[in-house]
Amino acid sequence: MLVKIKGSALLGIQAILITIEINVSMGQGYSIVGLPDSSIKESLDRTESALKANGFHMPRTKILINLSPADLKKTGAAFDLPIAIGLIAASEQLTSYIPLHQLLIMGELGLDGLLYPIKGALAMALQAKLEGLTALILPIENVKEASIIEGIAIYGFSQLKEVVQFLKTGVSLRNQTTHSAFAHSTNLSKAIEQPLPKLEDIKGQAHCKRALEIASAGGHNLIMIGPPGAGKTMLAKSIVSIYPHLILKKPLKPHKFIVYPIR
Amino acid sequence: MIGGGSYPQPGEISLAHNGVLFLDELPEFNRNVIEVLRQPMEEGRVHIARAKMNLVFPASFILIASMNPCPCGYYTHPLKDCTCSAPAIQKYIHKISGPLLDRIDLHIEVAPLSYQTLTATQSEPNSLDILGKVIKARNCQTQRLIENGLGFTNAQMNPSQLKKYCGIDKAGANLLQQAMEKFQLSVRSHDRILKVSRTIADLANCDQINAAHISEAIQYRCLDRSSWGTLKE
Repeated sequence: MLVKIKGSALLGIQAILITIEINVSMGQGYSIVGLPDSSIKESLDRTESALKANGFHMPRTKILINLSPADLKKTGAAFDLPIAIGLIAASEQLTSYIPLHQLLIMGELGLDGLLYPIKGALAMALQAKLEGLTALILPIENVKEASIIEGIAIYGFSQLKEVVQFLKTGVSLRNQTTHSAFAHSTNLSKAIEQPLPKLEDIKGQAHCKRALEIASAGGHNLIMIGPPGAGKTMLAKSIVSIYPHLILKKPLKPHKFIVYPIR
Repeated sequence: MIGGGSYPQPGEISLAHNGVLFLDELPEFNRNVIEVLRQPMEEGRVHIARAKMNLVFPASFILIASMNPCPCGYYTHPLKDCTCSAPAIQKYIHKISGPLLDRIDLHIEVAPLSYQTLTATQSEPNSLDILGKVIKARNCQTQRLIENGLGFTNAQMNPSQLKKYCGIDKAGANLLQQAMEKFQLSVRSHDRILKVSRTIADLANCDQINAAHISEAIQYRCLDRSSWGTLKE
């Protein structure tokens, strides 16, 4: 039986929609085509173990997996979950309640079927929404990041078993999360609270502080010249205390990087 | 720094997107490392071209750099003697190329503190108050620039926005003209001075840029006019 699932490959910070086609038919041998790298080729071994650990069986017939578009090189272990779900469905161990081709599924699998977080969930969520898919299935750790994108349902799971259960019944054991971006603005800016000097910790240097204020207000570049020990580094670090935290007022054109004020 | 690799990953400048990139001891970086910052600093994004792919990463950041004035560090020190030769100072300062310096809006000299200032008990400006001012100024920029969509800060204004929003009064225009002629400033410096004055005016809640704003902006261009290293006796 042939099953198609949507996945996503990352090119830079852009996600590209990938169709994962899984065909389980008469014959022998496993193969993955469509320019997979070695971490995707190893995926079948992980998947086999994860399937067994979760009470499914690995089909002992011919398995052909195609990642389309076939001319784009794909990397990473995040294709484990769609491959596993595809195998379960293609070997008729699962009749999905939700049409599989309307879902974007990504996640890395452990040998025991646990889901591990992936990279680029935000870009994938954006792409999935643009392509008009109905929902996104991700490891639970990625849900917060992906739900910055509004208008697409995001489901997070921590186990292969839970994902299959959800697909069978359409009911998630965990609550569905479609947080709005507003709910996250506070969490996002929390990531940056490090013990850095504040402006009032620095004595004197009034004109430098003024320059920092202007730089921070208008987004201007700044160079400081002075003898060693004058406090240049401390002044530079103190800009964090007067730099406006990022607040997502609306789901802006998303970039993956939004929270680092100083590096 | 800018990102790359055979499977391109974002670099430091992309990780600092919408934030601050702080380069301490700027002249100690390899020249080719800092010179590649030029294009991202202008455009707010970085293009990475590889044989297999062509990528664009966002990289809109504020560069904050610090450096010593000379190899020994004491050239501008009011009391300590500098032990460097004039050519050594010149060479040190020339590690930062003109084009890069031109892209930095604010140049400031940081003087060492005297003992009196260090032990003074006067209260320093509170960062929360300043943050409030900054946010107010930012809001006013966002309102002004949002219709054009691209940038939200004065530093990101394009030439037509610059023309539209940076009206100067007569005294200010005269002052700017004098400064341009006296210090032989580049057109980019001129634009940057205007943008900085716009920010200063925003902080002061003024609609029009006046001479005081312009003069404050000009004084932050000290490296444009300095004859660094040539003053050494």
